[in-house]
Amino acid sequence: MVCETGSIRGSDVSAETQVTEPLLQLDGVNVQIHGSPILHDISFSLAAGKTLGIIGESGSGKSMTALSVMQLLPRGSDLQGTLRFQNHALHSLSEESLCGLRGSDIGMIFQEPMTALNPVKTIGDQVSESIRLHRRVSTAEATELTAATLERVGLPNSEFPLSRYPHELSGGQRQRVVIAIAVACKPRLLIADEPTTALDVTTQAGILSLLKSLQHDEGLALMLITHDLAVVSNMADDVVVMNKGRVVEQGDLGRVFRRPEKDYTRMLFDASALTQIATRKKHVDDNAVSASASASASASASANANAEGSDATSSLLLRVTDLVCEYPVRHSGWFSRAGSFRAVDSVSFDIRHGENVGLVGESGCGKSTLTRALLGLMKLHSGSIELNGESVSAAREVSRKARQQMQVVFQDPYGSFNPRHKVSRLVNEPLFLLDTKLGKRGASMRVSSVLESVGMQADDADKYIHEFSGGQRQRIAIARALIVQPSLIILDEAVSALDVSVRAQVLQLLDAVGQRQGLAYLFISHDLTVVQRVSDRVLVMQRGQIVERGDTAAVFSNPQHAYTQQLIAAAPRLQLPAEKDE
Amino acid sequence: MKLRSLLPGFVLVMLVLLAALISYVWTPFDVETLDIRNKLKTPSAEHLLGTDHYGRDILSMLMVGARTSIAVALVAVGIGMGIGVPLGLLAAARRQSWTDELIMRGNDLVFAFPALLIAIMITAVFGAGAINAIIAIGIFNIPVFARLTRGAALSLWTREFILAARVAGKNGFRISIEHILPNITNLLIVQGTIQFSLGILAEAGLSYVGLGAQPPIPSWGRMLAESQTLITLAPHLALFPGLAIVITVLGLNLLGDGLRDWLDPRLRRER
Amino acid sequence: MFRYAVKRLASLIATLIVASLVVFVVIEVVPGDPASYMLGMNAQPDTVAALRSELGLDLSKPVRYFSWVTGMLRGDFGQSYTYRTPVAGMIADRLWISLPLALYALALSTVIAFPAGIWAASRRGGIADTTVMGFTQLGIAIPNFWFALLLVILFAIKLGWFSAGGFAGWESGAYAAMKSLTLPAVALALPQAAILTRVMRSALLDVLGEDFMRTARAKGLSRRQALLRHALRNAMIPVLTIIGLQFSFLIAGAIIIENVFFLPGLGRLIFQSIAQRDLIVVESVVMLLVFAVVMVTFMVDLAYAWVDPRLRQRL
Repeated sequence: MVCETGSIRGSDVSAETQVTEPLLQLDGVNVQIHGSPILHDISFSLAAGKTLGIIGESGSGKSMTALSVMQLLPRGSDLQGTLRFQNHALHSLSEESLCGLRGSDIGMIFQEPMTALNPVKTIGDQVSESIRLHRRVSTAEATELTAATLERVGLPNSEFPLSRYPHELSGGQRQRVVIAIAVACKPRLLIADEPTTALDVTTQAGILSLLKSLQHDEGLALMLITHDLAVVSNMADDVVVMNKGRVVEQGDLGRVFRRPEKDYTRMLFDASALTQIATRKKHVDDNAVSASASASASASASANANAEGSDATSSLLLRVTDLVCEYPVRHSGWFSRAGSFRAVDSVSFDIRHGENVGLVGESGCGKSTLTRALLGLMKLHSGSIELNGESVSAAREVSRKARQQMQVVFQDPYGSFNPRHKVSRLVNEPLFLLDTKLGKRGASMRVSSVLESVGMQADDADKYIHEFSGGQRQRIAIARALIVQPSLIILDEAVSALDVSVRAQVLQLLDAVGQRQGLAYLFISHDLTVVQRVSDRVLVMQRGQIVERGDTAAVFSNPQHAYTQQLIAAAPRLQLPAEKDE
Repeated sequence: MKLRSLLPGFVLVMLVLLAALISYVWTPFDVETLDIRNKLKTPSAEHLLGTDHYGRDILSMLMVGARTSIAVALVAVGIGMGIGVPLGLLAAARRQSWTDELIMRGNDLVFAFPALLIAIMITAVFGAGAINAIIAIGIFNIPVFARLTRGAALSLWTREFILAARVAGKNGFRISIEHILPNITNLLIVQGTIQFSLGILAEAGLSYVGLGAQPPIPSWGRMLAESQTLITLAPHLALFPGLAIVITVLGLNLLGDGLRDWLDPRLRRER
Repeated sequence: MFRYAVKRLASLIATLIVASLVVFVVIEVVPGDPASYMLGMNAQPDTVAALRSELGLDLSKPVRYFSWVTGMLRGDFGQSYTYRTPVAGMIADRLWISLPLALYALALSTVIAFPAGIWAASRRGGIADTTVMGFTQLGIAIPNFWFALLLVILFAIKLGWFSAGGFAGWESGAYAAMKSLTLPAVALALPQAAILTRVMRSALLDVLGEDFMRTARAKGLSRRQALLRHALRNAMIPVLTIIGLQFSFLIAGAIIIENVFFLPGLGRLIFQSIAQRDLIVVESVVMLLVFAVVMVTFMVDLAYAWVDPRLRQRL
C-alpha cells in the first residue's frame, strides 16, 4: 500500500507495491467547530479491499475523521484540506452529489446499535429505503433485495421477517440491521465507527467476523475505528494512530505494533498488552504455571463445594448460599398472571478476607441483580447472604454495621455522583452509616486522608465533580468506598468506561490499596482481560447461574464449561502480525 | 447565546412588579374617586393612558390591578408547588406501588377538568371572588407540578448516585430531600415562571367573565369586560388593560426561557 | 394493541365515574335551594316543599345521583328547573355552536402550527427560526378574549367585513354560519397555534438529535428527506399529547370567547344557569365537557399506539 508520503511500506521488502490510485485519500484535513480546532493536518489513504484501523482514545478525533469523509460534520464546522474518494473530490461536491454517494458508494455504521434504528419503522422499511433511494427498482425487487441483504448479514427471514420492529431485536441483531442498511447497495467503502464497543464479547466476535466475510465476498474496503487494539490487530492491514486530533503514527500494522516510533503508540500498546488474556503460546513460564494449576484446578472445579483452593488461613468474609432473585413479569395472556423471571438462580460462593474474586458474565447474565442483592438493595426470593456472620437480606433490614463492611464502586464515573454536591459531601456520604457520627472536623479529616490515599489532593474536596476527568472520578469513587473502612468492595464494571491508559492506572491503584488495607474485592466485569489481571479466583456467570469457578489462571488456560470456552475464544487477542507471517 | 431573552424578560417583570408595589404608596390619581366630567378622555399629558367611563385614570387602575393579578397568580403557584411537588416526590419514591397509582389517577382526574370549569364550579357553589379564583387556579396547578416532579424524579431514581446513597443506608425520604430535590430545582423554577404567566392569563379570563375579583377591587380582566360596551366610543379602554396583560405574560415567559437556558447544566460549567 | 385499548378504556370509565361523583358532590353542597330561589323569598314553606318534591329535590342524595347518572347514559339529562324543558334539548342547541367553533379553531391552529413549527426547526438558529419564535412568544402572551376584542375593532367596526357578534344560525346556510364563527375561531386559534408551533419545533429538534437520524443521513437521505420521512413521525408523539391537553384549554377558551361575540353557546348556558341556580343544567354541561376532554385524551392514547409500535406490546 502506498502511504501518503509516497514511501514504500517500511522494513519488509514486499511483493506488493501498488501503483494504483488508493480508494480513499485524505490530505491535510483540518477541521474546526465554531472556531475551536478539532482535527489537525490529517493525511492517510486506504486502498480498495483493504482494512484501515484508526486507533485512538476518547477525544482523539477518530470519529470526527470518519464524519469528515462522509461530510456529515456537525453544524458550524469548517473543513479545509482535500478528501478524494475514487475520482470524486468529496470536499467540493454539492450536497446532492454527496447524498448520491452516501449509502451507495460509501456506507457507515455507528457505535450505539440500540439507538441507531428508527423505532417506529420496520427493519424491512429501513433497509429497503436504502435500496430504493439509490437504485431504480420496483417495490417487489426492492423487497427481494432487502430480504436477501438481511439474510446475508445473518438475520434469516424465517426468524426475522421484514415486518419486525427494532425494539424486538437485541443489540447485536440491531447492529446487523445497521450493517445491512449500509451494505445493501454494495458500496466500495464501509466506515465502521466503534461498531462493537457497546456489545458483548461473543456478539462482538460475530459482528467482526461478519464484517470480515463481507469484505472478503464483496471486495469491500473497511475503515475500522476503535480504541481496542486487540480488535484492530485481528482485522486491519494498516493502522493510523490518533491522539488529540492529530495523526501520531501510521503504517503497516505489523511495523507499527512491533516497532512503534512514537512514545504515545508505545504507551498505548503497553497499556493494552498489560491486560491481555494469556494464551498457551506466550511464555514458557506461563505454561509451567498453567500446567500445574490446571491439575489442581480440575480437581477443585469438579467439587461443587464452596471453599476452593484459595488461602485457607484467611477467614470467611462473605458467604452466599443458594441465592435466588426474581423479577415479576407480566404475562402476555388475557388475564395477567404474574409470572416471574429468575435473574439469579441458586447462586452460591464464598469470599475470604483479602481475596480478589472476579465475576465474569455478559449482559443479561444476572450480575447486576446479584450486585444489588449483595448490597442489600433488593429483596431475595430465597437463599441467604452472610457478611461476617451477619445476614444481609431485604433492603430495610440490613444493619448499618453490615453495610459498613461492604461498599461499592460503580461503572459510570459521570452518573455515580450527584452533580450538585461538592466532592467532600460526595465522599463522606457513607459516614452516615457510622453509629457515632464524626463531627465536622473529624469528617473532613477523614475525607482528606482518604482522598490522598487514592492519589488525589486534600483540597480537591472543595471542588465539584464535573471539574474532574473520568479516571479522577473513579479515584474519588474509590475514596468514597474506602471512607468507612470496609472489608469488601464490590467493583461493578468499575473500569469499563475508562480509556485504556487510565484503566491501567486505576487497576494499579486498586492493587496497592487492596494490599495495604487487606481488602477483599469482588470484581464484576464483562471484560475477560481485566478480570484475568486482577483476580485470584474467578466465577463465570451465565443466565443467572455460576457455570464455572476456580483459580483464575486455571480457568483461563483450561476452561471446562462450554460457555467459558466460548467466551475466551471470542475475546479478541492482541495478535502481533509477525506471528502470522513468520 | 439564548441569554438574550433573560434580560428583557427580567426587565419587563420588574417593571410590572414595581408598578404593583409602588401602587401601595402612590398612584398618579386616586382610583376610588369618580370624576364624571373627565370621563372617556383619550391619552393626554395629564392622564397618560386616558380615563374610563367614570373618569378614573387608567394608568392608576392598571397599577392597582397589577396587585390583583400578581397576587392571585403567585399564590396559585404556591399552592401548586406546595402540594404538587411533595406528591410528585412521594409518587416517585414509591414508584409502582399503590401510592404511585393513586397519585397518578388523581392527576388524571384533575386534568380532565379544564381549569375554567373548576373555577366555574367553585364560584357557582361558593360565590365569585379573588380567593376562589386563587383556589381554582391553584387546584389546577397541583397536577402540573406533581406530574413534572414525578417524571423528573423517576429518571433520577435510576441513576447510580442514588444507588450510592442507598448503599449508604439512606431511606426514600432522605434521598428525596438531599439528592432528588436539589437536582430538580431548576426544572421547578422554570415551570413556576410558566405557571405564573398562565395564572395571570387565567385570572384575567376569570375576571373577564365576572368570576374573579369583585368590585371595588380593580382587575385587568374586568376592565376589559367593562370596555366592551363602549368599544366603538373609546377603543383605548380595551387597548391598555390588554397590553398590560401581554407585557406581564411576555416578560414572564421570556424570563422563564432565559432561566431555563441559564440554569441548563450542559451550558454551565461552574456550580 | 387491543389489550392496550381496553386498558385505556377501563381507565377512561373509571375517571368518568369519579368525575361525575365530584361534580355531583360539589354542586350539591350549594347552600341555597333552587326551589326557594325560583319562588322568591316570600314564598310559603309548603309551596316550596311542593315544588321541591315536584323537582325531585326531596329524594336522598345517593338516589338522585344514580338517577342522574343512569339518565345521562340514556341521553336524558333531566328537566331544567328554570325552564322546565329537557336539558338535553337545550344542550343540543348550544352544542351546534360550541362544537363547530372548537373544531374550526383546532383546524386553524393545526394548519398554521405544523408548517410553521417544521419550518422553524429546519432553519434552526436562522432568521426564519427567530422570527417564528418571536411571533409565538407574542401569541402565547395575548389573552384570546382581548385578541377577540381587537379583531372586532379592526374587522367589524373599522372594516366592516364581519359582524361584531351574534350567530347567524345554521338555518341561514353554512356559509353565513361559518362566517359568523370566523372571528371567534381566529381569536381562539391564536394562542393554540402559538403553543403548538413551539411544541412542534421542539419535538422535531429533539428527534433531529437522535442517533437514528444519523443513520438516515448516512444512507444518503438529504436533510429535508430525513426530516420528513423519519423525524416527523417520531415528533408526532409529543405533539399529540399537547393537542390532547390543548383541547381542554380550547373548551375553556371557547366559553369565554362566546361572551365576547354574544354567541349562544354552552358558555352562555353555563353562566345563565349559575345565575339562575339551575343546578341540573350546570351539572350536565360540566359533565358533558368533562366527557369530551376525557374522550379526546382516550383517542390521543389510541393514536399513540398507532404511531409508536413499542407501546403496542407493553401494558
